[in-house]
Parts: sequence; structure tokens; C-alpha cells
Amino acid sequence: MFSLDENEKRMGEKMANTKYILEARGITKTFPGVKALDHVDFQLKKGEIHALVGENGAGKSTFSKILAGIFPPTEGEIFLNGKKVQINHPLQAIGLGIGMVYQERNLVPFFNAVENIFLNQEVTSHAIFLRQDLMKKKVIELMQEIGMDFELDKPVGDLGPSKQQMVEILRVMLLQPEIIIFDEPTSSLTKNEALMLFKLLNRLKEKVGIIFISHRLDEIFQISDRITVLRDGKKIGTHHTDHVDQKTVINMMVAREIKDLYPKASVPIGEAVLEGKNIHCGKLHNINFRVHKGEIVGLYGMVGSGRTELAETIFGLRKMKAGEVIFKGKSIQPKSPRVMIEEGLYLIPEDRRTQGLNLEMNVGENLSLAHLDRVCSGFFLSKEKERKNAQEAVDKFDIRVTSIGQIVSNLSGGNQQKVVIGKWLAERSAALIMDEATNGVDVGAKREIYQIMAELVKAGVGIIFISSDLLELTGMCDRIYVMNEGTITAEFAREQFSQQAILQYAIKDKGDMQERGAATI
Amino acid sequence: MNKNKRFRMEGFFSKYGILVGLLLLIIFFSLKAPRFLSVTNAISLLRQISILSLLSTGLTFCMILNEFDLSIGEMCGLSGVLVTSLLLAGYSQIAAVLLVLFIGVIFGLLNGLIVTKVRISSFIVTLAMSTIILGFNYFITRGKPIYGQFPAGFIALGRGDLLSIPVPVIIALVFLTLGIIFTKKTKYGRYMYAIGGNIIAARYSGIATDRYRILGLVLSQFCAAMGGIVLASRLGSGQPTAGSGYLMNCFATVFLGTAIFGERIPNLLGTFVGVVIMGVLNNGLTMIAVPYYYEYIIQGAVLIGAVALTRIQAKS
Repeated sequence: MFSLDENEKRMGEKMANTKYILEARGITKTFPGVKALDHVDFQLKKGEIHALVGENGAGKSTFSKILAGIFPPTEGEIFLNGKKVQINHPLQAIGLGIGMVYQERNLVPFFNAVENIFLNQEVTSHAIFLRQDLMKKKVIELMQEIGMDFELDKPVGDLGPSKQQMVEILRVMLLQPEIIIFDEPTSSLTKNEALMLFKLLNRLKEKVGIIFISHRLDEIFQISDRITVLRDGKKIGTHHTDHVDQKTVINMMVAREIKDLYPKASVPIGEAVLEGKNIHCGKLHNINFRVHKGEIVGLYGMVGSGRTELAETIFGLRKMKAGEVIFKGKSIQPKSPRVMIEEGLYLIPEDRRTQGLNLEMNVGENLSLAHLDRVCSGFFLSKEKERKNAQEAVDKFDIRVTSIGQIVSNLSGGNQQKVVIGKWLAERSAALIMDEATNGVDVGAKREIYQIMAELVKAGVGIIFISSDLLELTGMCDRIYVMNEGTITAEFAREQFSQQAILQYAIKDKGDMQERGAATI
Repeated sequence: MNKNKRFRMEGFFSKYGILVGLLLLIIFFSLKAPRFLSVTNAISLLRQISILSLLSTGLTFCMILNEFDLSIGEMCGLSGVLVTSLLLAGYSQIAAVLLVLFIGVIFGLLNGLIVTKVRISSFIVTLAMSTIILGFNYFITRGKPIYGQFPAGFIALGRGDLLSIPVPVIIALVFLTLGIIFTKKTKYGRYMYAIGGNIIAARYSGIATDRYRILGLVLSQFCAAMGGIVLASRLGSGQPTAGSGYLMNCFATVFLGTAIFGERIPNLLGTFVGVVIMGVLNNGLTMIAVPYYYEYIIQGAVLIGAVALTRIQAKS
């Protein structure tokens, strides 16, 4: 099952082959105490999109950083068009024609697109005077070449995430690379924007070879020509995308077979625990919803549809303009997170690194932060109680740590997310809002998070599950609300789940919808 | 093996380098000025640093929260002239001291409310407030020192001894000890560190972030007011400009403190070590008769050096 394609096997035995624009052999990278990469072979052809997949910590980022010259490999050789090269510095990688579009944006927000694209590559006359006109012309040429179109004169800070990404892509394209590495390019994009990116990638690949790193298997199957799976720093195999299915790839990624990714438990649905009536806040309007005990209610929508704003409003982070929140049968004013937490409503925020965790604090301190009363003896904190509280959460959620005293910034994404969840579940909640709780988390950790959700609803908790992943929503939810432009536009019961229909309500533009009236299916 | 050893040495220096530096300073001054290493000088040194310690303790609360308080120096000056003026105006000692402390709290509240409710950075707010406080100071004093006969109880605050330990030292140590317990042992201290580390995560955790930020700014003004009272008592007069010089040294001590023990975040014990270092420097330099203007140069260099040290540690 893990055998290489015949073709690859033959090639691997030969000497450097010019058929590949990039060939990496036996790449090994050791950091103090960790072997991040272990003799990884990899080949990239011109005109292909080669996906690199693996759980968090599998070595994808390390591999791409070696190619981009962030650090050199401990062992191994890299060939470009059959010629052996050394890449010791990012500038060297650029010189060799390797460009990388990073996951984080590296733009100057108050510069416009042209200024950002030409940053440190400025076209000048008399060596010092900027030629904005020439630069703009060049950018327009580049855009036409790959079929892109957006405003060039606005500060990029005012552009949406997908436009910002296009700026990043253009910046790389300007250097005329032969190889472009995309590190999680869709993580900040909506489904629609991702589709546009894929179109662009398909055009780009006529000229270059593309290495595509992503967590989202759906996308990988949609866009890639070949898939290489890494696990624990080792290459597990390379397959033509047409020759494998998602389940095979998942199994290669996680070693253990995941038979059923979504442990949906059948739980009796109780009375309503959380209700919103006619909520207005900022761009949110006319929002009505309810969540029952033991129910997982999905909230689907594109980025910008108001999902997070709704969660933050209910949680008391935003001031409600009008409307009513009914929690556990009584009307409540969501004044502040503190009030809501005391009532038993918890929010697992969208961004674990900035909203969920204190990165410089250790695991135990993070786990107790929302419930310090529990780990106090009278006026004073009790280290003993804190340790016990943390140990419980670590055991319960299988958080992999070297010790309770480990600083959370040193944990992997999945384990960090489990700390965020553990932080909220130290006490029994009545309702829980999970905002993109499985974002950037590997498949194994995802399944563990689903399991935790299943256990919570069994205990009678009502969950609002915000996600951009339709597969997990349809897999885990009892009902799904669809949000679009600040309001709920549709509601689906589990029997009616259809990914196409849900997506349609999420992307339909508003004028269209008003004509037909918001549908309740 | 060898590499391992070197690594440990580096770890040792980044953790205890400052303590080693303090030790070297003490050795240096003892060699240059034999009188430096005497009990009398040690006690007078402690007496000298007690006011700096009070102010630095307050500033540390703020900096734990990742806030600044640039108005502590002027608050120290204002409270000195206020307490002396109130005493001369016939207020009882207790009333005068409590009233001045209360005024410190009011200014802290004002700083805190503007920072949290109007959402202006504490750097700007307290910078502006320091000028406002100086204005009040000159309004009371017209720039002239306040002299007079002060009651013995008040004078004891700065000059008295208790079991041959100077009273100001006792006051400073009480503030320091209570502060350490508060920041390290109670949930409120934990909240303050959480806010300083990541204010958004703290808010999402249900911590009343504004309340603690106000508390930090109040505590720093309260400590500064206390420092001013002790200072006035020590000087036996209300000196309008006596507090201004403390601000820079306070920052130096807090940054020295963050570099110590490898904590990397402001902490009161570290701050106190920083205070001792500044005290040893000033006392020692005076003893070996280095001209006073060098002291300023050295103090500034120490602040930059301390911050540089924290950056170097953050990298490793």
C-alpha cells in the first residue's frame, strides 16, 4: 500500500535526472533532541502541483524551510534541474529560483500592492528615484499573465486576506521562480477565495513547479497532481492523486487507521439551553437561533459572514444593540466574558495563539487561568491543586506534554488546542461555543477533539460549532445554521444535510436572497 | 561533553550573571574604598535605597501588566511637599500621611481610568500626568522648598531606627514582601501576569482586565506617594524637585530584575536586586569620589545595558 509508483522507483535508482526541476535526496534535519526529517526523498516536475501532507510535526514546514534556505539540512543533497546545489540563505534560494509564499503575511500594511511587491526590488532612475509608473506597469503585466485582477492603489491593509495573498504571490512571481512553495495558503481564505487561488495555481503551474502544503485533504485532492505523505519526519510515500483516495492518505498520515473520523453519538436532545432572539450588533441583524441540551449546532458561513462576531456577542465581548439572549431559561445580558463564564457559557476562541493561550505561561498555568478559584486555598494559589487540576486535564484530553511546567509555545498546534479546550472544561459548562476549534490541527488531534465533543453532549452540554469545514460540520452536527452577510439565512436538520445546499446559502449574494426570502428548510 | 559544559555555563551566566556582576562591583568598591564594606555603610546604603525600592516596587506592578507609569517620579515629589505642607498646616501626622496616600490613589485611578476607558496607551497618559502632577507641585510650593518643624513621629519614618534597622528600610521591605506574596502567591497576581503576557487571552478567559490594569496603576502611584512621604521625612523638608530623578533609576531596576534569575518578565525579587545594584553603584561611586556627573552617565548606561541583557536572553 505504501509502495512508490513504479515510475518513481525507477527514477530513484538513477543518478540525478533532469526530468525533475527539483530533486531532494536523503534530506535529514536534526534539531537538538529532535530528528525533524529523516532521509526524505522528494521530486518535483515542472508543470505539476505536488502536495506535501502530514500531521503537525511531520516535517512539512522543516522541509520547505530547507528548500527556502531558512536553514540548511544536516544531511542530504538537493538537485535543481539535475545540478547539485547548496542553499544556505533565503536570498540564495531566491537566486536559484525557489520562491515561497508563507502562511503568515509579510506585508507593510500602509503600502499599496505595487510598493509591497517591489519592496527591496524597487525600480529606480538615477539609482535613487522611484519609478512607480514602471513598477506598476510590470505588476499589471504579471497580473495579466496569470489572470489576476484587483485594486493596486489601496493600502494592502485595507485589502481582504485573499487579495493580500495575491500580493504575496506576485511578490514571489516578480523574482521569476521555477519553483513556488505554498505553505498552508488557504488557511485564511474562504472557500470561494480558495477556489480562485486554485484557478490561479492551475495557470501558474504551466510555468513552474508548485509544492503545496495544506491540512485540508479536500483541497489537496482538488488541486494536486501528486501527493507525498510525511510522518514523524519520514517519507511514507508518493502517489499520483488520481490513484489514491482520502482514506488511504489519512491512513498513511496517522499510521493507525481511522475508521470513522466523526464519532457522532446519538444523544437525546433536551430543552433549549441557549437562545438568541432578534440579535442586532454591528453588522449582525435579525439573528434568531437556539441550542438544546445535548445538541451540536453547526454555524457555517464564509469568513466575514459574522459567525465569529455572533459568538463574541453572545460571550459578552461585543455590546449587543438589540435583542435578547436566553440562557438556561432566563434572559441574560451578556455584559462581559466574566459574567458569561460564571453562568456556564464558554467560548473556545478562533485563534488559539492570540486569544486562547498565554504562550509564555506553562501548561498548568494556562489550564487553570479561567478557573483560578478552583486552585486556590483561601487567599492563596495552591501549586498542589493547580498541578492536580492540570494533570486531570492532561490525562483526560491526552495532551502530550513533557511536564505540566512546559511552556505552551513549545507544544504542537494540536496539543495547544487541547490545552485551550482543557482550560474551559475544567468546570462543567452548560453551553460551549467552539470557533474553528479544529483549525490548523492534525487529523489525529481533530478526532480527539470530536471525541471530546461527543462526551460533552452526552453530559448534556449544548454546543455551537463554528467551522469552515463542511465535512466535519455535517459529520458532527445535529443541525446547521448558515450565516451570510450578518444574518442567519438557512437552517438544516441532520436528515437534510447536503454540502452543496449549505454552501449555496453561504455564498449566495444578498440581493438574490431577499428576492426569494430567507429560506428555512 | 565539552559542549554540554559550555552550554551550562552560558545558562548559569544568563541566570545569575547579574548577581555575579553585583558581587564584582562590591569587591571592586571594597578594594578602592575600605570603608565601603562596613556595617555602618551597609546600613546607610540600605537607607539610601529604601525610597528607590518603594517606587520600583510600584513600577513593577505596572510593568507586570505590560503598562508604564512615567508619573511616579513626580508623584514622589508631590507627595513630599504635600505631606510637609499638611503637617505645617496643622494636620495630624496620621491624617497627613493617609491623605497623601489617598491622593496618590486618586491619581493612579485617574491614570487607570483614562488608560482603560479612553484607551490611550499608559505611556502617553502617565507622561502627560507627570507634567500635571508637577504643575500641582509648583502650585503648592511655587518652586520653593517647604521647611519647618515636623513632629518626631513623621521624622522617624525616614530617619528612625527600629532594633537598629532603619525604619525606611523596614517600610520598603514590608511593601516588597507583601508585593511578592501578592504577585506570586495569589490569583490576583496570576491575573496580572496573564494580562501582561496576553491581554486578549486574558479577556477571553473571563478576567476583568480593565480592573487589574487600573489596580496596577493605582498601586504604582500609591507606592510612589509612600516613597515621597519617606523621602520628605528623610530630608526633613518638602523638596519640589526631589522626586524627578527617581524615574529613570526605577526603570533600570525593573529591567535589571527581568534579566535576573532568567525570569524574563518583571518580578519583584529581581527588582529588589536591581535596586541594590543601583544603590551599590551610587554609594560606591560617591565613596571613591567619582564626580557626580559620571553617575548620570553610568545610570543611563546601566538602563540600556539591562534592557540589552533581556534581549540577549530572549534570543537564546
